[in-house]
Amino acid sequence: MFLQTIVNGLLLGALYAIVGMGLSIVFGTMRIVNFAHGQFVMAGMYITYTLFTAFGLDPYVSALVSFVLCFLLGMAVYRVAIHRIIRGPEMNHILLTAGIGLMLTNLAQMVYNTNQLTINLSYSHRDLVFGGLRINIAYLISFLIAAVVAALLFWFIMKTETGRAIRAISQNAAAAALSGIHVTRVTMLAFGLGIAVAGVAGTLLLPIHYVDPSVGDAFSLLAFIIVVLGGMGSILGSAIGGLLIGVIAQLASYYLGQSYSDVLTYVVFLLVLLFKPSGLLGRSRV
Amino acid sequence: MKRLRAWILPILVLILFALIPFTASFYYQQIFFYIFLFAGVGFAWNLVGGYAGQLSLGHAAFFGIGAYAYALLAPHIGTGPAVLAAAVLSTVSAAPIGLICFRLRGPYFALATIAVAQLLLVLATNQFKGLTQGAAGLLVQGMVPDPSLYYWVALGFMVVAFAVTALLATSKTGYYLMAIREDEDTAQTVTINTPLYKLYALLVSALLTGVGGSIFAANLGTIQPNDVFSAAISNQVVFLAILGGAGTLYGPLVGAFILEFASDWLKNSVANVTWLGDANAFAFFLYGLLIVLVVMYMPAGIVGTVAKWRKGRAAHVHAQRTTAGV
Repeated sequence: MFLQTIVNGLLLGALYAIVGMGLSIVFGTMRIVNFAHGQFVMAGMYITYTLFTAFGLDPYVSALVSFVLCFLLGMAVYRVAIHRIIRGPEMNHILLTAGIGLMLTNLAQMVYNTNQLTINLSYSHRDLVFGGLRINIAYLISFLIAAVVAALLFWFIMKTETGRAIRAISQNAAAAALSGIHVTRVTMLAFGLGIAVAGVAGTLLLPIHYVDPSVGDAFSLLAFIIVVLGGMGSILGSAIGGLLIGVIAQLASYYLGQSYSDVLTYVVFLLVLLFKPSGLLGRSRV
Repeated sequence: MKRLRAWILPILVLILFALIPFTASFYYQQIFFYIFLFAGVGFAWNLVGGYAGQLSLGHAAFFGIGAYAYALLAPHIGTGPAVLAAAVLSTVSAAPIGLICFRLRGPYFALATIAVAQLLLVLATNQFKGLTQGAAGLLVQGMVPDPSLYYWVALGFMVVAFAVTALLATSKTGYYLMAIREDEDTAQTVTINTPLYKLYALLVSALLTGVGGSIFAANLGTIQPNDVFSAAISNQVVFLAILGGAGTLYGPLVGAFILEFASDWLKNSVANVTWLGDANAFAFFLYGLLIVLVVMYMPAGIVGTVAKWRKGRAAHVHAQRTTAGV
């Protein structure tokens, strides 16, 4: 059973990993303290839910729709609001994005009410059995897509010209501007990309996790926990952090009880902040 | 003379507040109860978040500890001692919380305070269910015989919280805290013991917040962990202080006034508009929009912006007089 719990943790953790990777681009790299990250995960979940109930669209197809819509939404939010305060104190980032989060949460409540919504796929209750280990098919597909998204994101940041520009801005925005990088445009793109990844994470979570207006706040905190655990500015670190939190949460919930998975997650977070603030793979910061 | 003049406005406002219960209905007395209560907690937050510039997003931790300390102890030791115990316990709990969180700066401090408050929320809901009754709720013994008297309790609390923050903010400690806000490293360089002063501000802040929590619980009559430990409480305190003006003396009161009346007006006026769906959610949507607009266009808050504007005008008048040779 121990092994089974670890496997479940890794399957869930892969989804947490891309929730964290989205924030890693926004917070770890662009230094925008986005307290509304979880609300964009929620947006992805509601987009997927709506497409599924209205048109019967398979969630793994609507991942693309989530990506595009959240990308546009993210860039718009950046251009209209965040861009104006990005050079200001971090306190203002937090307050502004918390305000945006409050708007999104309550917009969702106005449209969808507070019900916990789930979707029922034909394959969401079927398991594959590998020598005693049971693996839910919905989890497995989400896991595989999450792995592909993570790989693509890593490739984009590390190998493309735009990715290089994003990393350059994170190291020194002024020097990046002097080398001919359009800082505003690239930052907007990076923010949009981080939000788009959050939206995809929401899509992949929906077959296995309910959605209601309150999930946004929970995922926001979770995303920060993952990014800090993995290490600031390290996208790979966030992936590992997500997997780790998934395993910790599953182990705690199996051996100690459901509510302990939150308790243990917060305790691990506080311990990491205290004793290893640079995270698992992070460089020094501040 | 100038010192005397500074007292005129607060005393006039206080007389006005003292007259309200004789003319207002119980409904409005309760609205004023929440204005005073949250203004008082806002004053307390302002010491840490406004003057010292440490963005605590977890003040619900102290609020909840105060509320539960009062609720659990009042039947055994009486209401007065229970409020005292709430003050002591929330202050004592602030010491380890401060020692942990103040090792971090900026957004990491804010995140740590959220994590602490969330941790307490989960613990109070599940692990300490035997003590708190969890989500089922805990009956709270009243503080005063008549519900309308809570108006006075909250008013008294606010006056005390204001006096404490005003005294601290205008003393040497207040200037040390502001120095920490402006530049912590420089403050340290000029030999200010920054960890000590930050902790001092947090202890005073937690004491007042804990008392606020106990009054809140007594007025409500029954509490669940979600009423007092939730992020909604932490956020409300922060937002009203920011709206009024963080780091200004009167900011939290102005912010609490506007937020309470605006949300009351909104809830009543959109309650029958069906196409909006949930009227409460619509009110909170506008609340979020207000925060966004304030941060974008008026980050100093209402009081801070007015003060800046007046300072600018005074400088302008002064310049005109000097050039005119007056």
